[in-house]
Amino acid sequence: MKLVDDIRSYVTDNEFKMIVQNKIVDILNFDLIDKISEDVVIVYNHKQKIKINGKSLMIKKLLNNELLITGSIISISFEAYDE
Amino acid sequence: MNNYYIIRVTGRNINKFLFKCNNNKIDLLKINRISHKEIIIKINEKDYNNLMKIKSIYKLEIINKFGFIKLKELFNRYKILIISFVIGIIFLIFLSNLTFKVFIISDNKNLREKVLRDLNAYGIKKYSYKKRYDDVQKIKKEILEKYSDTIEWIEINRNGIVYKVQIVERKKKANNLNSDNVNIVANKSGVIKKLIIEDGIKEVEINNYVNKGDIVISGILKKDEDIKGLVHAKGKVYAEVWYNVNISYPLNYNEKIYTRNKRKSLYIKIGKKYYNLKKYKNMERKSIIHIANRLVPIEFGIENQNEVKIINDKLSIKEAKNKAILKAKERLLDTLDKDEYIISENTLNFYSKDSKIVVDIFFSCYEEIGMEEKIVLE
Repeated sequence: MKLVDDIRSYVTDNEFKMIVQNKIVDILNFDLIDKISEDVVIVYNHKQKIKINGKSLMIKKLLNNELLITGSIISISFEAYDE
Repeated sequence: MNNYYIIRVTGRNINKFLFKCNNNKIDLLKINRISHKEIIIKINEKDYNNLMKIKSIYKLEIINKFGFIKLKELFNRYKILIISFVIGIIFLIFLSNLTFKVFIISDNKNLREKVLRDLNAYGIKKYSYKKRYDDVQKIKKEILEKYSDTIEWIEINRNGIVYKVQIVERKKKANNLNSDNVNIVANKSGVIKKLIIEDGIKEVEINNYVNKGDIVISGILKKDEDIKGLVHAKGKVYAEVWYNVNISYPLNYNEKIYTRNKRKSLYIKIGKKYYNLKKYKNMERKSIIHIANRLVPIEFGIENQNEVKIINDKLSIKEAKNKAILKAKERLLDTLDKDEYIISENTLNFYSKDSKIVVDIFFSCYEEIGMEEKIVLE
């Protein structure tokens, strides 16, 4: 069954991912957006609270499973939480 | 085709609007923040109705559309113009394929009327629909066969809405003086090879030389130098006659060979320049259907393309000489009837001049030389 699970995960790609590049943060498969402002964006996946601190943060794309943030990123913090 | 809306959203708390979209699973494909109170978003067509449901205090304004919905909007905006244009084009195609005049070029009024009647029967007439190229070729062939004794050549060309039919009448020999008493005389000098006498008296023996104008079959019946009666001499006189032909042939040889490749293609002609979807490197084109206007130098249509191979070659003296002889022979054979032929040929002289070769050829031909001539008694 592991093989089937592997194939399913490859095809559906439900894994949480975060790609950080210069002035861009692309978050895939998040669960919830908690806060959006120019200084901070907070999102949750099923294990963590992710806090992105920065300046002039802007949401460039907001899909059901993808969030693209641009702006000057100062820090990104991950905090465990129980669902 | 993907359909998108570009929408301007204005409201007091734009971030709250983004939350709302996320909660309602509306994909915001692109977000441009204009100010704290204004953003421009790009959404799929399927999300538009949901967006309208959740808009509440936010003001939404469609700035642009992409995809089929844009085309639909343009069509709705300009539908009268588009429908008129399409109907106009269909009407233009219809009219340009109708025949408004059939014009026959021939001096013979009788023949003109006969051919016009036949063309009518074949469907080439006023207000009839344009015939296909193959049909026109077939009609030409059938008319030529029907009037093989009177028509030498016929060409049917379509020029816009007019059929122009050009007829070349077959020239009949003018030596037929049926009702009078005639002799048969030689119309060329030569050595008599065969005589077929239906009526009249033989005046010359086989293998004898005759000059032009000599009586070969006489229509005067004599007995002891007294004229006993006059008849209409009938018969055929075959003789060996000679021609001295001087012909030139270019040393630079150009030939156009038709390959078997042919196809139909769409074309646009702007001015004198053609633009095709497909075309051969060298080809001959013939338009089948076209839409053109005299005021605008643009033409659209479908054409037949025949591929041709163009050969530009330089001939040797020997090759040019052989081709010149062949050409002279072909020309001479064109003037001969079925029962006449070339007995022999002999090259007398040849020389090259101004990038061409000049050849003198002597031909000996078996030819009918009899011609009726009215008997004039002194």
